[in-house]
Amino acid sequence: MKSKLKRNLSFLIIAAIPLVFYSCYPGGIEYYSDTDIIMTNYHDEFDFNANKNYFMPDTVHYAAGDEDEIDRKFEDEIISEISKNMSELGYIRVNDTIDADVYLVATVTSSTYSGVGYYPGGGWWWGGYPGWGGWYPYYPWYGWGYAYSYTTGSLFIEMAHPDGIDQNKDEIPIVWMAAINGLLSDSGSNTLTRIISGIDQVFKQPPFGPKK
Amino acid sequence: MKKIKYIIVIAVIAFTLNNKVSAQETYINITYDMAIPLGNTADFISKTSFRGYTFEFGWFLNDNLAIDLRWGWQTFYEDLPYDSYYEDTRTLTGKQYRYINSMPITAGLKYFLNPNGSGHFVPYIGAGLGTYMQNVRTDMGIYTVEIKQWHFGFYPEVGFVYEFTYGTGFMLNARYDYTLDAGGNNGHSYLTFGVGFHFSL
Repeated sequence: MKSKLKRNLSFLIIAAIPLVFYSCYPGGIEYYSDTDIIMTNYHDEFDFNANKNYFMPDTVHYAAGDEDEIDRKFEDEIISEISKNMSELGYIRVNDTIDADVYLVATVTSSTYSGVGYYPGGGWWWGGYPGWGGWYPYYPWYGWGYAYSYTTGSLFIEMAHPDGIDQNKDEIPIVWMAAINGLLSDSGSNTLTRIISGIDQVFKQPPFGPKK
Repeated sequence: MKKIKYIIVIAVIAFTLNNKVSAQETYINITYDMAIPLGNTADFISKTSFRGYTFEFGWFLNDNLAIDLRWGWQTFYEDLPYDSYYEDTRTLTGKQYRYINSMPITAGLKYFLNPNGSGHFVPYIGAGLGTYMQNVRTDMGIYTVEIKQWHFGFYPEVGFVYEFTYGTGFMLNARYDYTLDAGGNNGHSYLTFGVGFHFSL
């Protein structure tokens, strides 16, 4: 009986070895390009057609971080590509904030941001906007618990609606946002192509483009 | 009165001894499992899973009937192509990776049709119920959406053991695992084919 038990246990151990090497999450990301992701979200009660004048700074904002190895040579191309898409959608860029229905800001992260459950906007920069020190962005569509991890060089484009500001709460309503992960962290030769196609894609997605 | 006491004591001893004889042995089953997703599971992941295993520890209650405890794991995986995916006002464009990990912890019964026959072939039917930990996860670039939920579930099962040496046998079975909705999350179902070994202890 004892030898039978011993023999069977040996069989068991041998049979169990492959199971140890099992992965609960097989497959997954293999290449750098597999991490490319473009996310857009918007406030569905905001009338985008009635607010066509926008103000956008000529520069990209770089969110403060521990790492600062972001290639800044594509700044003009980023602003230019956003302007081009906005123009094609019928928006008019104005030079004075007073004339603007909405503000548009492009932000590039110079660090990695990750978390769970919080809406991962790029809005940390709005608190530093002239005249809005200490204010916080407010995302009307807040929700959906998920984990995220934006890598260094992610590009955020956010649209704020100044008329919707809640003076009591010091909150700036963000009515639309786009996030393109890790766009500028790669200094490869196709970076500019990825920037252009990424920015073009965000304007093809709702609310500016249809759900396909 | 004293006689009745003696009769009861003797009957208990006799029953215990008899039980010990009929409860002939315990056993362990270990199988490698492949699973075909069905229902809600197939809606989320359509690919067959080749990553699964089951451990069972059982006791014979009599010559035919055994009770066992099962612990298993089945991983479903599928990657979806680069595309735009919509949810309410949110649009995500990228590659999507989907996973379901299902871990049943169940108790069941097996009825062996020919345990002491002359041949080595011992078919059985079985069924059981218990709890299933099911983890449904979607990875998309930087985003991960994950739902971990305990579900109540049950299964019917058919299979056979082919004993090739005394106390050790080859085992093949088919099992339909079904879990109920829980916590606002969908239950899952899949058809498992297991191949492995049966060890009498």
